[in-house]
Amino acid sequence: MQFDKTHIQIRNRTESELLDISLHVFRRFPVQIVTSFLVLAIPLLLINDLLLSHVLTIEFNATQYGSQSIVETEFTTSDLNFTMYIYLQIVLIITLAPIASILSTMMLSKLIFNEKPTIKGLIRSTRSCFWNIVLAFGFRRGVFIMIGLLLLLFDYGQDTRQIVLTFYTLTFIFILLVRGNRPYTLEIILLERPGRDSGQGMTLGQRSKMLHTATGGNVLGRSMFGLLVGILFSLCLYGAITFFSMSLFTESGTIESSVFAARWIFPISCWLAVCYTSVVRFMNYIDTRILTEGWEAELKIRSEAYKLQQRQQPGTSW
Amino acid sequence: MSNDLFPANGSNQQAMANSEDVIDPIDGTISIVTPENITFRYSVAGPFQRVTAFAIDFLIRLGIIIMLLVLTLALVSSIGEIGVGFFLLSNFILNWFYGAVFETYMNGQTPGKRLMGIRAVTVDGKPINAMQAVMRNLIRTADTYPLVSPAMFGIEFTDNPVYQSAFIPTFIMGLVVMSMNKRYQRIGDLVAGTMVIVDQRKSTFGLIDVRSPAVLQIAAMVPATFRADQEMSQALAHFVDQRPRLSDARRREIATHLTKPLSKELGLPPHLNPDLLLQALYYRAFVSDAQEELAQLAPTAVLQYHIPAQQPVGFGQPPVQLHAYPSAHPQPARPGHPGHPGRPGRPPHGGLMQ
Repeated sequence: MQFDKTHIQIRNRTESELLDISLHVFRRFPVQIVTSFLVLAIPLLLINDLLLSHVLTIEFNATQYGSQSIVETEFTTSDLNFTMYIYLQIVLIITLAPIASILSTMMLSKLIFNEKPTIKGLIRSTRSCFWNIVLAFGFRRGVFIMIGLLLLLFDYGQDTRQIVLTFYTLTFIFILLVRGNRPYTLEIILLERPGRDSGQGMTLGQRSKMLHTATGGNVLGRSMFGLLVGILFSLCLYGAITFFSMSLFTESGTIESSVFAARWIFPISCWLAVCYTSVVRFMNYIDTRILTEGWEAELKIRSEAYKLQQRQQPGTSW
Repeated sequence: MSNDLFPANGSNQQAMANSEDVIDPIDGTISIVTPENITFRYSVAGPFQRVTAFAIDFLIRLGIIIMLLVLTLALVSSIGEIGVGFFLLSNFILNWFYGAVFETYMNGQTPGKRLMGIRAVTVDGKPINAMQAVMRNLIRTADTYPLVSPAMFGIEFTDNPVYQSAFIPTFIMGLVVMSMNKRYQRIGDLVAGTMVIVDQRKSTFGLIDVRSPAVLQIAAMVPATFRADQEMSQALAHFVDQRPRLSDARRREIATHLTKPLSKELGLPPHLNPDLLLQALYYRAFVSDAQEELAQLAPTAVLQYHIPAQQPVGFGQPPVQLHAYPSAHPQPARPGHPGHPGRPGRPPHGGLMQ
């Protein structure tokens, strides 16, 4: 690794500086970051739609009208349960965010150290981490549980729905707390390649504990701040995209446009925000390693050593 | 250590092949060269560093508006509708000229900016004038676009048309424009030729106490002619500042880069503990000539040169084995190296960083 050949100046930064620098990183590598992100985000967007779009149907919402006939009643968008749909969508996106950012994280790790990776190459090098990712995110961080709970919403009535939603919320809170304390697990899996057991070097748990406890409560604070920024950013993007799409293409207030905005514009805004926050998370990870592994000091020390060695070479005069 | 961020073999070759490319690293700083050929380096404040200052100023304005409203309500009974006019006029002036007035009279700062340690300056790094302050604040509204209505978010409290009208700022325009240029200039900054810089950079270093018998012992070996130049001083300061967070093995790994050329340059024994050597140099560069202090401590401490086998880098490694021992078994200084009493220490090649 050549610290002096990076696309990002190696130095310790504050949280707001990291958020700003992430914008610059985006500006420098927009195509690479967005492309690598979309490779996984688009399938996840479609899966989410498959899991959740039924919430925005008259059939799903009809139970609140009792014995009234669905056919005879005139429905409008206000009869659809948008709040529940938005809530389920947000929770699912936050849960799936690390999985969606696997390739963009890999891409960033190569780009900032001045390599020129391809999507194919990234997929190839990520394959070896597959089981670690499935274990860490699929099982321990409840991605499969969340998807299973959403599948239950398809078939059961109002009473079961309440129970399922309660479990859904509790699981999400648990995931938030776990991830808040260990936000860089994905980066550790992808970039440090921990061993499965202690015989193969440090395990994921050991590496994760060392990195996340090195800066104390700072990790949780940064993680929650990142989440807050991501949510605000999603809302701003949603407002802006809706504004432009409604101004240019549709007449607002119709049932079609409201459902379209909820089904597509809202998740797309959220995923774009996730793309940005994945850059922020990567920058935070780098910053934590700069701090805990003394990269900044090493860069300066090596630079001085290089100058001395040049000077000591025979025939060199300064 | 071998992983994707620290490529071991194959990836290194690719990195090395690409390393010839010239890179302008992203750092959030800009350099301004004056006509006198002096370079000033500014840390530019981006949107997220500026948003807190904006929020503080917004709260101040909100507080003043509430006070004005209360005053107006009190005045309406006595002076009639003129009171309402007074409120509207005050509100207009406050919203449109708050930033301009403060930035003109407080040298590019509003109360919020001062609290956050940022300042508006021209792109040449000079103080902004009144016209620039007015311009950059008048166009602020453009950064808040597009505005959206609560109804767009599904919030429809009543049939009141207020909820249908767009008044919630999304700031997307400002964010996009700021992220498109290196100086994080918003539209108002681009028009007025200004930017916002970080005014107060807190120093990361205080003087760190590295005194220990072992460090002082090595410090005394360093030739009296040793002078650390600015870059070397910075490198030493960074190392000493960061070393408490590092494992012993990692400290050694970092310090080793400099130990070999330094030992050669200063004529020091090659097997000195790298971590201690850099601490000793820090001591010599920032604190004092160690001779006096060492004279008091020397009878009780002496170094044992002991380099452990190569250890993997990581956290929680066993400590470096360097101990201070009573002077019952002092290690004699070898003739021909700077620690030898018969020969005053001096670097072999005429000295480093003099």
